[in-house]
Amino acid sequence: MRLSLKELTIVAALGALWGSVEMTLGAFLHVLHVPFTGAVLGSIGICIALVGRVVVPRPGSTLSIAVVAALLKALSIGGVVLSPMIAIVMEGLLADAVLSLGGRPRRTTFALAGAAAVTWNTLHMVLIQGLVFGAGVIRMYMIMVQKAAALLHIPTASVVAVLIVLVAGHVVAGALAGLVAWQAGRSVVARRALVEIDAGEPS
Amino acid sequence: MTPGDASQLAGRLSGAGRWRLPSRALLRLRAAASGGDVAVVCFAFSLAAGVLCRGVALPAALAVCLTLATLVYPAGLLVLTRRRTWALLVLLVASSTVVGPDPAWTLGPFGISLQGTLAGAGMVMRALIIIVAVMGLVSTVPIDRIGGVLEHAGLHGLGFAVGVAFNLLPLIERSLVTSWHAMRLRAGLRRPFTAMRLLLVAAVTSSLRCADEVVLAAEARAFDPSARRASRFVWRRRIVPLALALAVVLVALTGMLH
Repeated sequence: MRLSLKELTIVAALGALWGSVEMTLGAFLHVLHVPFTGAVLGSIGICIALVGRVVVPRPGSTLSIAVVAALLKALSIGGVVLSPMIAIVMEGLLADAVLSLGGRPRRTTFALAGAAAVTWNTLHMVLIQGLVFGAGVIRMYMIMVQKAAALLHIPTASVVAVLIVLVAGHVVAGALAGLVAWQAGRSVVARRALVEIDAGEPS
Repeated sequence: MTPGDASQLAGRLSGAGRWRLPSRALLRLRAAASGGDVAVVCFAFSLAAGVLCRGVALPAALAVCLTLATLVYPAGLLVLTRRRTWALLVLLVASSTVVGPDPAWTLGPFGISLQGTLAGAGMVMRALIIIVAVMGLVSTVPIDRIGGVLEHAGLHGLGFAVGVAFNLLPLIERSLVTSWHAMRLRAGLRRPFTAMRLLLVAAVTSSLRCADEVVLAAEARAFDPSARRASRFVWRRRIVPLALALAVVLVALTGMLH
């Protein structure tokens, strides 16, 4: 994938926008320990990256925006930034894969791409900790879930149901982000076309 | 972290004169590491060692990786001075001890499992290897060189994009804040969903306007991002012996299991 100078600069600008949201709002939410920070930031970020896909309709543009945002996240004043960096790249990769496999850009593929990207956040912590600490940590989590269920006198199946609801919530948030990105992207492209016509330089 | 801090820390870690590598060789190694390729090779080795080594090989792998970090990217060791890192690691061992199988003793309501403690210690060693390597790479190799590594892997023009993005950050943040205040003053937040969509459109449009200005300036100077070579990541031939030596060490470490 080779992007032109104009496309690269658009990728850079939208990557910077996602990066600045991660560095400002992300740091704020992490400090306040707001629950589902990953889902909130992931939805906003993937929305920006998907708008980028409407403006630069080339395979790989969403991933490039995510990579730029992740590299900017490395400059964040927060302490541990590796995990969010991997999450950002994975979100971009998943969204790009869905859009590239989905063929012609459509509302549905954008919703699916958003859902796939944001749902990654539910798996991210377990997978990354499994990668860093080894498979033992995943076994440990499973034992902890069983012990917690026994302690609270609720069946283990209820814990599984809660996890399913959690994943479903992420899917809905991601799909909404994709739909908003589709609408917003078309508005942005229309607005840019008007500006270019006004300036006498049709695209 | 400044280069001064890094050398100060390296001095502290090397025992302030108790044992020292020949300073010229050390300086040469550090200079090579800042070029990127030495640090990337050491990082890849540490990552592979952390993932592949098990059991008794793990402490040996940790020792090798910490030695490499001291020599090549001492800034990565700063993560060991943070209380939060140690709190996380202690918590990991403690929880693994409590939930581990076949508890040998009981301490109040908790069972103490030796097997769990050993498993926790293994996790901590793996985590230390990977955390130090990642922090070392990020703090030693400049961000445009990391962009260069990705460019080398086929994501063309990324080094340029990261540079532009870094310079656009303050402009974009300012326009984001301005859009937010404008929307708030016009009571646009009464309908939150519409407000968020409009804020997104405004933020994206202003970012694209900034991008257009950069494109105009770049085109006026006949700038071609694909012709830019200065920040490209270069693999030097002298890295081969180091890579081979580390591969042999890795094979020896993973072979310790059998």
